Amino acid sequence: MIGSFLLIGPLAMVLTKTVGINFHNISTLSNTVLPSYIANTLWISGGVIVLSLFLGVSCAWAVTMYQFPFRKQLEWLLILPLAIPSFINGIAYAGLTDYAGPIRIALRATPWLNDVYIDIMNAWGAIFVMSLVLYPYVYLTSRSAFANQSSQLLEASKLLGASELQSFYKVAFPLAWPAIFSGLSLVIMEVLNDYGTVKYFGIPTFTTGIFKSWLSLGDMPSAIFLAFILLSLVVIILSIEWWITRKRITSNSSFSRRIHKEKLVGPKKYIVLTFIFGVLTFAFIVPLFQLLWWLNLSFHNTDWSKFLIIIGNTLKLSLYSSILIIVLGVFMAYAFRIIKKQKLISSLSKLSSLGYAMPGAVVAIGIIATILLINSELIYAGIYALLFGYTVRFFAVGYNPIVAGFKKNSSSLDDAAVTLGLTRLGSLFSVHLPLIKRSLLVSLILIFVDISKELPITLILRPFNFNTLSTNAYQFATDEMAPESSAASLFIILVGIIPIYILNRSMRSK
Amino acid sequence: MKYLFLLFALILMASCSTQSGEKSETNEKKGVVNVYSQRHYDSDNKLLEKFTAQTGIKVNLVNAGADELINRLEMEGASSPADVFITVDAARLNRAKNKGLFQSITLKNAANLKTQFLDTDGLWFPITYRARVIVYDIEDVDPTKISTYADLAKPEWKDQVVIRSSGSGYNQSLLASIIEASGEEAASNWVKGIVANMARDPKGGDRDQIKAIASGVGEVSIVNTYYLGLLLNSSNPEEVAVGQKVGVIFPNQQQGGTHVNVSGAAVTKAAPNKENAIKLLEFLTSEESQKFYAANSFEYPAHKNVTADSTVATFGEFIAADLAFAKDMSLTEKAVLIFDEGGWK
Repeated sequence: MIGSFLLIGPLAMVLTKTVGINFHNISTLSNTVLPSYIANTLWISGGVIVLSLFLGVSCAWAVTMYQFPFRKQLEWLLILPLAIPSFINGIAYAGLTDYAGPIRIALRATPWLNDVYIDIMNAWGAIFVMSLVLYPYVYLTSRSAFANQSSQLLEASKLLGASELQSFYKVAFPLAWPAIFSGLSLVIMEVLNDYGTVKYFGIPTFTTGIFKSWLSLGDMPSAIFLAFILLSLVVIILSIEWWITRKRITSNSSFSRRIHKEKLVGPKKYIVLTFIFGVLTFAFIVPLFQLLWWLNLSFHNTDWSKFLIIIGNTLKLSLYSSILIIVLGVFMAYAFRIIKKQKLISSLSKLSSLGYAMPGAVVAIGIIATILLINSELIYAGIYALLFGYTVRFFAVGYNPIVAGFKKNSSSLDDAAVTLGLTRLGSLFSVHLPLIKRSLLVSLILIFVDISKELPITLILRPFNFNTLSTNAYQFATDEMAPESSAASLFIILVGIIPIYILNRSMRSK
Repeated sequence: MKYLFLLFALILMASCSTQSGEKSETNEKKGVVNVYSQRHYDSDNKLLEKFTAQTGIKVNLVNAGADELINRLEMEGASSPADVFITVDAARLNRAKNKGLFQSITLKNAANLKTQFLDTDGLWFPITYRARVIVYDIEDVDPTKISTYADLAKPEWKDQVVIRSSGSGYNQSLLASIIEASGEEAASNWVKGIVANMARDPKGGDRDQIKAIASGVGEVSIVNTYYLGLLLNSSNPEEVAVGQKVGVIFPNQQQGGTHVNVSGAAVTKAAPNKENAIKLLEFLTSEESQKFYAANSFEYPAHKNVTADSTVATFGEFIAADLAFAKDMSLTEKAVLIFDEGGWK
């Protein structure tokens, strides 16, 4: 309970900042640009939802259902784009295709193509670059759902005459939908809060409106009012989903056989391989290549000595906060499990995860307000403000997998544990935690990767003289010095790759 | 278990890397100055290191956006640890000033700074300034045809203007200065004229506009001088080539001068280390530091006797307009609304 109040507190503090709101700016905005901002937002988020669903689900289906060359390697390589911040992917693709980028240099050297102009900086391009780094959320959740599904159900559907495609649409996909949606909801919230990519690509969205009110018009109440409208939208989407799926039966996989992977032969093998290699190329290899090329250009004027401290800071923040969130998440989820006031509790726990649906900069204002309320001396007393901020912002990322993990443990387990003389706490440690170990690891790593990319909260709440990889990359990128930002960007990716590798190993091994 | 061990090793590693920022040396200790700055450039960091080497005063720095920092100063009030506030926009300096966030100090160097950029109440001080100029394709454009910002709104430049979005603070302060000089109606017509002449939807940064000219997307653009300076000194030889494809026009030389904006610094109202804050401001406006700014950030130094960097100096001498547009934020706010009404994305 206290935990969730701590998480909701800063959001409530933000809400108090709307006091004295002057609707003049909002009405001017809504009469001029807001409709087109909303249209852009719908178009971009719709596009990203469709594309990342398609990429995530089809890759997950391919690696769980089929056996083909390099499957084991591809299975984890497909998660890697998650480590690339979407803004970095945006500047990498823009840099790749602009006048001074490698593609255009090569084209200029080609007689017939020297006047070709490629432009990726539009709505299609934004959907493309964002989907490529966000689809892994869907991929991860749908892969584990497909892996846990019962093979009997699929066989039954085939026996009843359904084609493979039909069994996918009518059986596997609907059954996996709650899991897929939990990944997709993270994608939706990421897209709605993106500011960097859309700003650089020149596509004003609803978030642009929030920052326009705040930064250009100096009107924080209006900005926060708009942020809460965005938040309500997310709440509505999540509630509709929750309402629709509340009575759905889930398949219980514990007694069914594992999926037998079909060995692919002939053209089908090559189609699947080309598709997966294509996704991997565009989502990871191409941006990586561009960053490495920039690194090569800026190598001599990069100050390497400071990177040790910066990497240390990034690791420290990501680790501490992910562990903090996991511990808090486990205790909250467990407390809500054993207290039986379901209604109140489920709404409290839902509210606690709303931090993810708010722009980071707005969350940061709430954190400052809350800390000032408690004790103003604390504000620069180290990294506590940052840890607080990350916990509020990323709680949802960790909490949802934990709750999902707990749900799989039947309530008879609790009863048995108590009958056998264990205390509530004892049964948490010796019964539940070993069973949900894997969910915990998934949470831990998702949060870890998210925090190592985080920018707005870090920027505002960090103590004096404190830099992380993302603030370092941002410093050069906003100064339009993309080559100089590549070293930090590459380190962000590197820092993300290691936990992702561990994540995949653990998901595969039993 | 293996992973737990790995995790443990990682935590250990992270804890071992010591970090000076964690030690809170913020309030009322000798030998410290706390800076809230929007300027996040490497050259600024080097200059602050020099300050510490010269005076023994440790500089604690937080970089973030100007408005975030202003909001933060406001919320912290009397308990704010900040001593010095630095931002890159005169209007935002005045926004903070009008909110009562600064205190008046006597700066020994003030007489050496260009008079037209000085705050009338002496609450903040200019460090550097930059000009927003017109750049053109040297192969296709006759520069004698353009002498004002207004020229770019004429029909003859249809489909030739590439420029960044109205969300850019640089465009907002340019339009604010047009409103100040010629009124809202003229400003609104200018916006509509530019929008009609745009070769493509606004996107990217200033450098991207110059690259678009090199790509043949458009022929003219409006950019900040130092971006061209940075491009001409880029680590990527292709970028240097891009920079060499454009020429520079200083607009409005007969109409009050080219639009400029300043970076400036102020001592905050609640400054716990006021003495050190003044020392830092004196250091930043000294001849030596001003030379360093000119050579490293390609901005124009605010000091009367310091000349611009050689790359930037090749663009030529020019008359700079004053900062009347920035006396408060109201013109910038009006500019935002006029951009929106005129359809400048």
